[in-house]
Amino acid sequence: MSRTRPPWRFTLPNDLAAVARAQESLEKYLQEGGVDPETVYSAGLAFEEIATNVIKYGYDDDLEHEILAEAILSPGALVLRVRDDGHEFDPLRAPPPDLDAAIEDRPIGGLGIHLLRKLAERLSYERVGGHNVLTLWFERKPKS
Amino acid sequence: MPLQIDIAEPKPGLVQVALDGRLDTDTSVTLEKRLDEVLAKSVRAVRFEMSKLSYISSMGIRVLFKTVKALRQRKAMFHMAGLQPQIKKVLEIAQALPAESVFASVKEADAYFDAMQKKALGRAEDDS
Repeated sequence: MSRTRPPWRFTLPNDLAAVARAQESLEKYLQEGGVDPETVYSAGLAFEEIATNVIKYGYDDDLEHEILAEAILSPGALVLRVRDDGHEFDPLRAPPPDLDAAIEDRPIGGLGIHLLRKLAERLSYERVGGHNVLTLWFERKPKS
Repeated sequence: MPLQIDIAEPKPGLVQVALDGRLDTDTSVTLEKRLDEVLAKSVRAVRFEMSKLSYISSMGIRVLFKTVKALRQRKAMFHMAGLQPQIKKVLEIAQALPAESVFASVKEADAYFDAMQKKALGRAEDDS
């Protein structure tokens, strides 16, 4: 298990129907790499939130775009990176949702970003050559 | 894995929605439609039985919020029972767990529903 696994790479179109398949592939890769269930859950959820956000809000045109996802495992950590050519959007600068408001009054926007900010140990965002590059670090927990 | 949704009425006025699988961007659309049908009728309480729900994302939480809102407007109860730890954690982060709506088991939720029904009945008798 200490053997380094080749990274997971997946290219998906900007189609919501493609997200579940990519997420399933990511979770399978992590499980086979011996990652604990809690980290698999966090990374899978973060991936779904990022990919759906990009697909829903990242593009104005009807053209097909490619979203590139990558996961790299090391013994103690997991790095997840998503790269897209949508509008410039830095989720680290998005205002946090108002979680103190009564549930029935709360706007739902921003909840996905809030979840991934809380689930990942660290996030970084870069705009590189017309692409958004979002990188998340997860600390692997010992398997119980 | 898709989501299996089983809707039943174990007691008059109490609708139980049992979820089995994953509540994500895809499956939340189906659940929302099924819940619209439930909420079109008169209900006293909607209970989500979640012991077989293995995954929830923000789109799934959105559907739960919408249900809470609809039920509060008509003064009906919203209950969740049997949450797995990972589901509980995500709902906690989203601050989507009104303490009064979470039960460890269906049995506990049942007892609460019965007690509230009795209370409501008592009030109705006092009024008459």
